[in-house]
Amino acid sequence: MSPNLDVRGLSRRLEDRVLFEEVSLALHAGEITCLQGPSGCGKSSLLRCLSRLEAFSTGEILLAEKPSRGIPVLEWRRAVGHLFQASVPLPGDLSDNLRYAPSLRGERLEEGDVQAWLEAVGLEAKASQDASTLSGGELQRLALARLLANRPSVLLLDEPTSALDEASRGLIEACVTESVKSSGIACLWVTHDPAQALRVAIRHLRMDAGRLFAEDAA
Amino acid sequence: MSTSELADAARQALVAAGFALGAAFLLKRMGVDLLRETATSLLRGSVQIVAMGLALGFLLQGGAWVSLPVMAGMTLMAAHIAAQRLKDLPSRRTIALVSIAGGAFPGIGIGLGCGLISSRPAELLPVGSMILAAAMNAVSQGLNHFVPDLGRRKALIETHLSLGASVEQATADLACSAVRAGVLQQLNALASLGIVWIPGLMAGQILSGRPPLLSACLQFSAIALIAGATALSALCAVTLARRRLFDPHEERFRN
Repeated sequence: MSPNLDVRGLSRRLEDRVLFEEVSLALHAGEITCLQGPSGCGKSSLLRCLSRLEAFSTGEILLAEKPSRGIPVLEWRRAVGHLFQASVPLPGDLSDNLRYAPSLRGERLEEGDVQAWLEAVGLEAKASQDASTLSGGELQRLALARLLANRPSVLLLDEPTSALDEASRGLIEACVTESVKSSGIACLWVTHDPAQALRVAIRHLRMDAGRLFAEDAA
Repeated sequence: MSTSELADAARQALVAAGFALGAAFLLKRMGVDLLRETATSLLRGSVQIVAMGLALGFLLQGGAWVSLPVMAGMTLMAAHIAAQRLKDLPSRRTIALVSIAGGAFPGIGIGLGCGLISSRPAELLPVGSMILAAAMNAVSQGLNHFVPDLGRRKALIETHLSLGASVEQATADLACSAVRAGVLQQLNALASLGIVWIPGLMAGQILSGRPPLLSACLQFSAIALIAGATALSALCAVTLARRRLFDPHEERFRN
């Protein structure tokens, strides 16, 4: 079966340095792949290139076998969800936050769906609360629900639980693993926590000095 | 002009400049250090206005052709001044020049077209310079809000983008706020016209014997032209800055 996201020989170079080089990986439906590596080795830059928030220098990315240059960027970003290390709230309450992305395409998320996504991340009691009043952990859970409500086929998670308490970390891990399996999402999860990587992922990659290795070969 | 009149004018100018410096000194004591900038601006402004005063005596007697190079020079200078404070914006001089011209020239054109002002330097230069100066302030105010805001709100903008919003959608609030900042001063001027503020143009017209009603109409028209020009200039500046700072095809910050 072809991967949801296929990365072939991807490199990103700046004038004076290489951020990552010759990165190839395939993300398959229903699988979580963990990516580990020291700070500054190029993990976040790779994720930003995969969601097309940054340009890559050479290589190719295919989404469902279609090259990135053939897919309009807004369509790409709907399909490739990117959760940042520190999420920020959009204006309005939690329901507004969940409805935002579908509304960009003229779709309306039904009340039942809003409730279901909030329940999935343990925020169902706060649907009408202003999102700017949430704690860091709650905000990260809201950001995950906001992404999932956009029905992505690929999920890129950039250390989403690094600053969270155990309860929030558990909720996010459970929500991601469940969504990946039930919706056939392919997930690339950057983490510094080896125990977390073992808990959630079936494939393990390591990045060092801009090069990608399979974990057992690192 | 007698020597005593000149001495009086110089003394009054010194008192006024002393007041401005005193205010800047007070600000410095409160931690806002604008003293050096105020002193430089006062010195520069005084030299410029005296030179312009001497030049006007010659220019205002000239034919319509005199207005064109003078207006072009004023526009270039306005762009230079507006761009000085925008260190983080690439192509800032071009953006300032196009934006100031894009707002001021249609305003001046409408003024000429409807007969509000003639092409004689004595009319075109004073009114044109008011419109240019207001456009320059609008560009400066708008961009000084917009560009730093984009840096401060990068995480929020990228959140919008990552959810599938276009750059236009992701920066709409910041762009509106910047345009508003650029235009607000002129809208306040328009709203307070005749109540809080009696503009110099109208006062001068009345003093020179023009009927008050006609002077008021001329003044209102000039301020309305200025308001329109500032709105166009601020909009133009924000739009151009957005195109320069974002990649419009890939809907992201330029690398």
